Amino acid sequence: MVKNRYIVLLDSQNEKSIRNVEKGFSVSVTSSEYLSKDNRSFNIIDNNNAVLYKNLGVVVVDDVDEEQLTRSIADSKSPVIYFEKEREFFPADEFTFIDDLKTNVDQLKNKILELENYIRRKPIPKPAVTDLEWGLKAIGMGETQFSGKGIDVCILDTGFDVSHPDFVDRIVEGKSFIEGEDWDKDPNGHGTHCAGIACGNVRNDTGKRYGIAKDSNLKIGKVLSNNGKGTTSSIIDAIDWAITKKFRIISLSLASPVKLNEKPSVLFETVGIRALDSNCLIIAAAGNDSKRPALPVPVSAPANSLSIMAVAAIDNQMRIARFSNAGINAATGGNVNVCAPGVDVLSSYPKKSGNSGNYVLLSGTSMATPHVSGLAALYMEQFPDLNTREIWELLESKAKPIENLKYRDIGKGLIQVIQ
Amino acid sequence: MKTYFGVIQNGRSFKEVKTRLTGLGIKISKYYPGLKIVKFETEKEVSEAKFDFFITIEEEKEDFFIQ
Repeated sequence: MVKNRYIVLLDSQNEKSIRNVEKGFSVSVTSSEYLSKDNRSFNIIDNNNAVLYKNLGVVVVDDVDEEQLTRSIADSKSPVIYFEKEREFFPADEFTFIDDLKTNVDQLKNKILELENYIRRKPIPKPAVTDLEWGLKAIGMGETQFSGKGIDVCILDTGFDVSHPDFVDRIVEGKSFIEGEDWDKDPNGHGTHCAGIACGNVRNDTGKRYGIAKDSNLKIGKVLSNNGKGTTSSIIDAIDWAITKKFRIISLSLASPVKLNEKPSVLFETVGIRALDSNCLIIAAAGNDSKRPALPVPVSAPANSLSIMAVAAIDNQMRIARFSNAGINAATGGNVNVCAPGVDVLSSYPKKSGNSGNYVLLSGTSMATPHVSGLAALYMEQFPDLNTREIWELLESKAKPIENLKYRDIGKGLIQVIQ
Repeated sequence: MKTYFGVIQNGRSFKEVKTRLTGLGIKISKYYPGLKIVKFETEKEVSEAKFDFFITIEEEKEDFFIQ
């Protein structure tokens, strides 16, 4: 049983109600009108009596049973309708505030110390150990969490070495369009290198990352023979296969040289348009026929078609590669759209005579092209609602111009990840 | 014998193109439905006037190389 001083609100102050209170709580109620200098309220209350403040309809009473008060509220015969414990009020003194503030600051100090100790004791997270090849750094791969997951990227090239240790756990689908040669072997090595840039992951020896869309679905079409040569038939066969299979990206690290002022092929222009209509983006190498700075030559076919994205190559000093073709047939088509790393690019390679390791450095617009294909896969994962034409626009609009390099040589600039 | 690629005009069906080519004594080597392109071989001279159901006709090239 807990007893305190209480403020009790009555619904009636008539004699019957006052008697009810006096009897129920064993107190004598004095009306406030009888209070005087010699008859102070606290003296009355301290003597186990109560004071009734008539204007307020309130009785102040000491040492009563709180449970009894609670029951009284529930009792319809009782005049008690509400009660609460007496509260203490203090003067608003400036020094009291200062003292309170000091107390609060002390408490806060303790909390800060506690937090500081917790943070100091917490284990320090290890820094990211994955280093990136220069090309991946240049396009901002360290700034993205996307990996091309679920996107079908099709590399049309010399085939692919499925026994390469970096890909033995990957499911790779493929088809050969070269008679008598298999898609899943790559005596040339070029196709394995390009596939590694677009869809590879990290080196199995150093852990350094060289591939972009590491979680994409790798598709291989062998359209170039083991000596690196192909025909319109093999390429058209493979593009039709890829579109029928609904692959989203076709990467062509191949080219056929064109002359100055030669018009683009209407055949490949239509193929590019029909691919885009089928939500498939064709990305192709601008070609390696230039001898810069003296002799830049026009973008090759099929990259010179307006409906196929043309990719030029730069080196790690942000200079145009000496071999990279240029948009100098602009009047008839054949612009460069974007540029990407294409000099001394490391990627996967089959082990064969003359190459004892699983990786080599190669240079070419062939190496620049799969950088764009891999990044396109990341964009497609990042923006699943965009169609292929919108992905193309995004690749160009997010590309970064390079100081002192011309639109003719690098188009909209160096492709970049979107953070 | 030379190999050609004909890009079928929008609105034309493969069936119609096949009938027209057969009428010209040309046998189709392959049809690419995803691209609406027909591959055919002929020794005859190919003029675009005779093949008005194609947007373009291009002869096979064999000079695509790794870059």
